[in-house]
Amino acid sequence: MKKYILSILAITGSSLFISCEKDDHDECHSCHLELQMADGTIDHDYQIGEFCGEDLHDIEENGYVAAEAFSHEGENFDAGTYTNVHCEEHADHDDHDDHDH
Amino acid sequence: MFKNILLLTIFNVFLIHAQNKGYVFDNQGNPLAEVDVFLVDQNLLFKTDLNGIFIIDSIIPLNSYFEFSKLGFKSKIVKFQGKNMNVTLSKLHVELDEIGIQENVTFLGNYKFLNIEKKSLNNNFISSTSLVENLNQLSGVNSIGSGLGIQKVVIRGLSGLRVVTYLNGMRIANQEWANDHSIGFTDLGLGRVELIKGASSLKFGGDAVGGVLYFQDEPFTKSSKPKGFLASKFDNSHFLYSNQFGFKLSKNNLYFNLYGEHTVSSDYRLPDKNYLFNSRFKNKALKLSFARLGEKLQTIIRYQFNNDNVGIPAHDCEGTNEISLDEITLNTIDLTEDYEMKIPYQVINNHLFNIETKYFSNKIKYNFFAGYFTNNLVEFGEKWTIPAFDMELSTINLRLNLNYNITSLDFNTGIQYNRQDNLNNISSRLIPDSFSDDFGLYTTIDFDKDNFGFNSGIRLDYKNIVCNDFNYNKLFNAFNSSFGVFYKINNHLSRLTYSASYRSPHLSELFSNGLHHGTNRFEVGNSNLDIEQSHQFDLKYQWNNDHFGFVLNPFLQLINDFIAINPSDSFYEDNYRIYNYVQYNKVRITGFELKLHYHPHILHNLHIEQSYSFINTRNIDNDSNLFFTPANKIKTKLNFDVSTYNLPIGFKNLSIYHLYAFKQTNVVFYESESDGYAILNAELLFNPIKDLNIIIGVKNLFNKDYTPHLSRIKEVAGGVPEPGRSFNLSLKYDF
Repeated sequence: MKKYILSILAITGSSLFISCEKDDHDECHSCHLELQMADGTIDHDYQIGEFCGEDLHDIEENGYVAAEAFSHEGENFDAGTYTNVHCEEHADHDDHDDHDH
Repeated sequence: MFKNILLLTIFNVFLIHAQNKGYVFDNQGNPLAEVDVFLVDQNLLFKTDLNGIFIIDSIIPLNSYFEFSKLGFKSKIVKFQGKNMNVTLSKLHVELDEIGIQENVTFLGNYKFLNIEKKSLNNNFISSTSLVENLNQLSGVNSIGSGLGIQKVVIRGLSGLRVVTYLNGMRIANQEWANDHSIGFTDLGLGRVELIKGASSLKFGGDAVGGVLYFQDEPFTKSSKPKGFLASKFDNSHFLYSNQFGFKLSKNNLYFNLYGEHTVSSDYRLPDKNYLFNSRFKNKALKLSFARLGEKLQTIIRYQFNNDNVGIPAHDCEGTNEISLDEITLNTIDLTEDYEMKIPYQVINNHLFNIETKYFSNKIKYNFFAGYFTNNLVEFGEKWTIPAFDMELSTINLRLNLNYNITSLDFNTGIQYNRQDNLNNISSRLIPDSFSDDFGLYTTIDFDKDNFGFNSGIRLDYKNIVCNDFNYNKLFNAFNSSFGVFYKINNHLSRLTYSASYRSPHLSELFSNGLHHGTNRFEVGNSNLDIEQSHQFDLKYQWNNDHFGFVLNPFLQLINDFIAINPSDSFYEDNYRIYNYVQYNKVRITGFELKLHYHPHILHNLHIEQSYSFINTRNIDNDSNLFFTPANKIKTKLNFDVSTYNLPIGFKNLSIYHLYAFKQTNVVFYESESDGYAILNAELLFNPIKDLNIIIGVKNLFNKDYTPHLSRIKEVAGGVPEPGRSFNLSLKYDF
């Protein structure tokens, strides 16, 4: 009887452990634009906010629509669609809580 | 004959019962308990009781092979002759080379002619942090990887498509061409692995220019009650938690095994206490098998599912490898979020289904195998919701093997069909939709009498590869052959093997055309590639007495039309270097392995094993080395069995493993040299109560900062180190 109980515990316990895992398909990520600066360098510091679920998918697929012109690092950029959107996270050695670009 | 086999498979309902009894003794006539009695053809395991008795309550076909083994004793093969068996096992002092000194049954062929290594994987889960790490302890075997998440086997400097992996008879095709694609399964439910160095296995290895890995599940066990185990382990450098369970049932001649596993691992800690961002991974696995093991006919059905989520660490968005270690590491870890996947990462789902039927007639053993393996690889590169590629690689494998004897000659003849389809689920793709059909025919002959034997075999392969996107439809013919001879006199054993093998180019090598984030490069295939041809000579000399053993194993491999991938001067999107598949005219790989085993007479429980592996590769076209030539290594293992001393808290065993890797200066122009290093691991085994085993271990005891030459992230940030000192705790309870 002990072996039967242990067997049932083994199977059900492991199944629960596997099935209780968090579903991470609907999480949110902070995004930024990749901007071409006047001196030819690429800038990754213009943050456009946090996007979740369908919004995240939409911005990754179609790009970010800037309704108005904006300025960044002293340079002006036109309104329009910016397709070079990045929402990936990178290691930031100095601060674990803020490791977005 | 096909019809008969099919009918017998379908109407296999006859249950026949009988009782076979046997006794196992040592040289002094004392009964030996807990001896493994393995029925090879049936894949069935029994154990002797305290009186050295084993009972098998079903009819065993005549001439079936029994393998008797027990730690510390010389294993023995006995052919069943229809009556009760009395078997004597003699003490084994030198366990230098399991294959060669001892009698063995191996799935890959006759160990006397082929360079086969065999390693038990029982308890691998608690004694090793990974499956590949255990294999790494064999001489001539290395691994490419980055931490525990991504690891793959390298045999004598060759890997990827040149090392063919089989799992319970099924070929595992999981986009193994890339260094960031792992082995594709864990040690869950595995009993042992066999390894052929080089291309000697005609039965399995049409493409195996580098070698064959053959993993086999634990045997079925006969028991009136359910049996099983619960096991857990924790590793503190990866914050790895892993759990496994196993469950076995049997009734009459029906057997059922079920296994499950769940593993989560965060980013690993470097020797400087920082954490390598995105070296995290998760695994879920489920395995079940069902068998009907009758007297004449046996059928085994298996299903296995494996899900991996693997972070790709040290990713360099700029593609230039000029980032610093600070940019790819964290100084703290937050366990509430650092188990979650971050891009770039891979999601891999593997399903394996196979059915194996054996039929034993009086003179011939028929073995029919049908398997289906599907590998879905989805890689998220720069976007969370849109994969960079999503490929489905499915493989169908059919094989019929006939084994028969004519006088002292043992024949194996077979046919094999292999179909592989690569399909893309999205429009973004690295390899286009394509497929291949491979039809193989082989026959081998073994002669083994007294102290002399030889083996010879041929294999013909016809492989058709089709890719409509490239308007490509080409047939490749290949002729493989192998010849081996052995001679034993007193304690001296010599063996020489020659093998010729031919590998057709793979779909990835022919048709790749896309960005591969896992390797930080843009890969371009070459549809003009031709067959790769290998010729290998392998010599083994072995000598041992009661306390000392010695093996010398030099080898030479010549490969014509060697397929490689080389960097170009061009970049994709200014960031990712473009790599092209090319073919070298001639490549030479030479080297030797040396193994020593010392066992002091005054301390019979102490065993010291040491292996030396030296390898040199040469691309004769331009007189340079090959990329990723493994560093020469010395591996030392000390094992001290203290179970006879009745120590507190059930302390049973101490083992220490030391690895010394030499500096590697034999590199190609686009590869950096690597420093030598030494690491030390130690492990204590406790058995505090019956059926409970606890292992406490430490890896990289001296917290050495090292980057192996075969690290796939060696070129990033000046070389990303392997994990620093880590402690691990494992428990296994058998019931």
